Amino acid sequence: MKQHLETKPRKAKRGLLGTLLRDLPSHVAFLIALAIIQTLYTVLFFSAAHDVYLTHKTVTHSYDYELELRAMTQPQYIELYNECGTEPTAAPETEPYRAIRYEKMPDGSYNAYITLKGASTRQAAARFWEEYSIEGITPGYSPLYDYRAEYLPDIFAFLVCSTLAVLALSLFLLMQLYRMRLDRDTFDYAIYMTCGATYRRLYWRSCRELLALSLLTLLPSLAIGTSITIALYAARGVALHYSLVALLLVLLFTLLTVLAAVRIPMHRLSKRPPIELLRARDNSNHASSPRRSRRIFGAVFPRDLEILSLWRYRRYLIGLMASAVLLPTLFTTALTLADIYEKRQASPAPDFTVTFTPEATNAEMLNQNTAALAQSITQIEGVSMCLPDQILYPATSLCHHILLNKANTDGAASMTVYYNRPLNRADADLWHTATNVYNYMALDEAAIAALQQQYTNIEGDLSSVLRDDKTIVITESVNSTKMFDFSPGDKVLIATTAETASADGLFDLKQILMQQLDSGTFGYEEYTVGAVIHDVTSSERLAVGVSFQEYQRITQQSAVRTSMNVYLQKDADFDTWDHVSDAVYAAAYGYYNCHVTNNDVFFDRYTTSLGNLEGRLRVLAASFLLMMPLIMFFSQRVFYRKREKEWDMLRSLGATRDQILKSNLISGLLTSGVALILTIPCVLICDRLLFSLFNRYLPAGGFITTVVLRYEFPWVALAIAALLAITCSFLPPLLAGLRYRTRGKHRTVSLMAGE
Amino acid sequence: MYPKKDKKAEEARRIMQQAIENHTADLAPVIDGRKVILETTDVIRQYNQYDEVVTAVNRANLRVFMGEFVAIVGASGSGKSTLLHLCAGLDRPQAGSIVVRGHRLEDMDEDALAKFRGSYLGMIFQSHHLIPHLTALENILVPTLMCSRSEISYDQHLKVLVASLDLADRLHHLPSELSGGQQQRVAIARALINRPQILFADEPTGNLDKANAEDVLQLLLDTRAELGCALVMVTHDLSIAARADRVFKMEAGRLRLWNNRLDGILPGYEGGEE
Repeated sequence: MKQHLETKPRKAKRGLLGTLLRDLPSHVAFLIALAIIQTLYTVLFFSAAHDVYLTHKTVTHSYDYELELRAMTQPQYIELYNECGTEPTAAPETEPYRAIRYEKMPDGSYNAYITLKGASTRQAAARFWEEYSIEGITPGYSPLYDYRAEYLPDIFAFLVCSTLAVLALSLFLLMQLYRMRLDRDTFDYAIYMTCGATYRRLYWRSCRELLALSLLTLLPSLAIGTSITIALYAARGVALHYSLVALLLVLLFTLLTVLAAVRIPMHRLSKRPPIELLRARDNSNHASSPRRSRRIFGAVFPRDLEILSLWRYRRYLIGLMASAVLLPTLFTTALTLADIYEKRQASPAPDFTVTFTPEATNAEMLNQNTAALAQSITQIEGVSMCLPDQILYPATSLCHHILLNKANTDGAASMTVYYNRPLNRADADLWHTATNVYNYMALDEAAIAALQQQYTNIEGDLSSVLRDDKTIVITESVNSTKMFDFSPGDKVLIATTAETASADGLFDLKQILMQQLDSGTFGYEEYTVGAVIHDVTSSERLAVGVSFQEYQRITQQSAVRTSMNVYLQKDADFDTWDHVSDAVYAAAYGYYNCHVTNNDVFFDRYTTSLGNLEGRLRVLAASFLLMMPLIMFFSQRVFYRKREKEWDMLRSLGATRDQILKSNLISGLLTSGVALILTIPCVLICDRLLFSLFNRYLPAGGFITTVVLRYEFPWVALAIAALLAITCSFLPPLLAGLRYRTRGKHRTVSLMAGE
Repeated sequence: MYPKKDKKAEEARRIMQQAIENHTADLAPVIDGRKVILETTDVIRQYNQYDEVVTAVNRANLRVFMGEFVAIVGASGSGKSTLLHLCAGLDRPQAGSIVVRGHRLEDMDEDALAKFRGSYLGMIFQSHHLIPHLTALENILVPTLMCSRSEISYDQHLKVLVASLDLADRLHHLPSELSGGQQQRVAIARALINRPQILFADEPTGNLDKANAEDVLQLLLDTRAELGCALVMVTHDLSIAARADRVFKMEAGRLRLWNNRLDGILPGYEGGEE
C-alpha cells in the first residue's frame, strides 16, 4: 500500500475574519446573541433620538412662551403691564424673563404669555412669580415649559436607566455564552496557558474575535432594529427620524458590551491553575463530590444511573434552572409592564380642574353653578368629558362604623374588627364584622353619570339611591385590592348614632374602632345595597354612596360640589389643547370665585402616546424569548457533547444506543419537569408583585399618580413561559441523544482516538 | 408407527438456536484440545485522511487460545492498539474476519456487539476513561448494570478485587480526586468485575511505577489463571512481554510472531506472516 511520508502543506490561514467565516457554524450562538444585542441597542437609541427630535421640533415650533397667565381682569392686566411691560427694563441678566406678550380675549379678559430665560426654567418661573405675582391669578405652564423643565431631564434619565438595563441584559447574555464557550474549550485554554499565554493576550484575542463577529451582524441588526423602530412609530402614525448619533451609540455600546462580557469569565479562567483546567475537560468540574457511593447493584439501567448522574451534576443543573426560570419570568414581567403602562396611559387624567371657592354662595346655588358650568364645558369641541368631583366625608370623623354580614367579607382581616356586642336583632349571629374604613359619598344624577362614565363593572342600579334613602351604593376594594364581596340586595348596618370617647393619640383605624366599640354606645340603621361598583375605586377607603339628603342627614355636612375635572379627547393635538384651554378659561370667567387650573398632563400624555413605550417593552419581552433557547441550547449542547465520552464508555461496556437515548429522555423529562415546577410560581409571584407595585405601593408613596387597574391573570404569557421552559429543558438532551444515536456507529473509534 | 418426537431434544435445539442468534452460545472451536477464544483472519483497517490512506492494520492473522497470555509489542504508531480495539469489538475492520467465542463480530449489529462486549470481553484502556461523576466504586460496578450475570457473586468478587488492587480507602472518591495509578487500578477492576472470558489491556501499567506495575501484572495473571480467561495485552515493556505465552510484534500494520529471547513457541498455528 502506497504510504505518504510527506504531508502536503496546508494553505496559510486567512486573517481573523477569514478564519471566523470558515468556522462560522461554531460561532452561530454568538452571532445570534450579538444580533439580538445590536437590535436592542438600535431600537433603544433610535427611538430615544426620535423622541427627543420629534418633541423638540413639535414644541419649539408651536410655543414661544413657558408661563401663561389667563383670564386676567383689566386691573390685573394693568398691574402686570406696569410692573413688567414687554421687555425687561433692568439689566437683562437680573430679570427671569425675556419677553411678555399680551392678548385681549373676546370676553374682555386678558392673557399674558411669558418667555423665560436661563437654563433652569423652574428657577426662572419661581423667580418671576416671586417678583411679579398677581393676586387672584395662578400661572399656567405651557408645553414648552414642561419640555425644558421636565421632559428633557426625564427623557435622559429614562434613557440612562433603559440603557443600563439593556446593557445589563446584553452583558448577561454574552457573558453566559462566553462562559459556556470557555467551559467547552477548557482544554485548549489550559494548553495555551501552559505554553505561556497570559490573561491579557487571551483576553484581547477573545475580544478581537467577538468584535469581528459583531461586524458580521452589524448591518443585519441595524436593518432589523430600524425596521422594528419604524413599525413601532408607524403604529402611532409617525415617521421615524434617523440619527447618526444613535448609530454611533449602537457601535459604542456594542464595543463596551463585548469588552465587558469577555473580561469577567476570562479573568476567572486565568486565575485557575492550568492543571485544573486540563482535568476539567470532561465535565468533572461540574460534578459534585459525594460523601459516599451508591451501591448500584440491581439498579435499573439507564434510569437509575441517569438520575444519579443528574444529582451529581446538580451544580450545573442549578445554574441551568436559574436561566430556565429567570428568562421566562423576565419575559412575562416585561409583558405585564407593557400592559400596565398601556392601561395607565389609556386611563384619563384631567387636563384642567375647575374649582369654585365656596365662600359666599349657598350650597344649592353652588351645585347649580357647577352643573351648569360642567354642561357648557362638555360642549366645547375637543373636550371628552367634564366630571364633577366626588363629595366624600370620612366615617371616622363621625366615629361611625358599619356592620357587615360575614358572607360579605372576603379576606379583609386588616380592615375589620370582630364585633361581639349584643345586637337587638333576630339575626344578631350574622353581624360579627365591623369596619370604619369608608367614606360617605353623596350621589345625585350628575355624580351617578360621572360614576357610569368612569367605571364599567357596576352591578345593580346606581339610581336606586335617589329613589330610596335607605338604599346605598357600595364599593368593594381598598387600595386597589378587593376586600369585600357585595351583591345588590345585601344588607349592611350603619352605626349612625354614636356616643363614644375620643380616640386621640391613636392613628390606626382598627385600633380606633376597637376602642370605640369597647367604650361607646351605638344605634344602627339597616340599609340595602342597591348597586355595587366592582371596579377598584379610590385609594384608601370604601365608598358608601347615599343620596344627597341622606348624606346631609348622616354627616350633618352640606353636599357641596366645588370642583370638576375636564378631560381632552384622546387624539387631541397641541392646537386642540390651545383651543380648549382658551374655551375653558372663557367659560369659567363668567362665574364668581371660579378658578381654572392647568394640570400640565397634556404634554406628557401627548409625547408618551407617540413614543409607543409599551411596544418597546414588548420588543424587550421578545428578546427574552429569543435569549432563553439560545442560552439553554448552547449550554446543554456543550454539556452533553462532553458527556458523549461517558456514553462511549457505557457502550464499550455493553450499553446499546437505545439505552443511551433513553437516558437522555429521562434527563430531559426530569429537567423540564423541574423547570416547569419552578417557573410557574415564579412567574405568578413576580406578576402579582409588579401589579401591586404599580397599583398600590408606588401611588401610596407618591411616586406615581393613582390609576386603579384590575388584576388580570396572565394566562397567555404564563402558557408561553411554561412552554418555553419545558421545550428548552427537554429538547437539548433529546437532540443530543438523537445525534449520538445517529452518529454512534463510529463513536468508539473517536473515543479511542482520544477526542 | 410414527416416531415419537423428542420434545426435550427439540427444546434444547431451540434454545441452542436462540443462543446462537443472540450470540450467547459458546461456539469456540477446539484445536488440539484447546479452545480458540479469538481468531482474526486477514484483518485490514485503513483510515482516509484527505487524499491519503493510512493502513493501520494490514492483513493481521492472530489466534488466541483460552487461558493464554498474548503480548503485542511494537513501536508507537505501528497499529497495535488499533488491532486490539478491532479484536475487542470497539472498531470494525474494512476487510477480514474476527471471531470471538465462535461468533463473527462482523455479523453483529452495533447493539448486539455492545451486549457481547459487556458479557464476555473486558477492556482496559490506556487513558482509563472513567466516568467523571461516578465514584471509584460506582465506576467499577457500572458493567454490572448493563450485563449482570447471575452466576457471579458480585459482593465477594468486588471485595477480592478491591483488596487486590488496594482501592479500599479510595472507593468513594471521584476520578478527578485519584492519582493516575489509582485511576488505572479502578479501570482494571471495572474490566474484571464481570469475569470476562477474554481481557484486552492497552498499556495497563504504562502510568504505574515499577512496584505497582508488577502488582497489577501479577493480578492480571492471577485472574487469568483463576478465571481461565485469555489475556491480550499491548505493551512496549519487554519485561512484561517476556512473561507472555506468546509475543507478537506489530510493524507498520503487519503482525508477526516475535520469539526472540522468549520462552516456547507453541505448537500449531502461530499466526502472523509466514
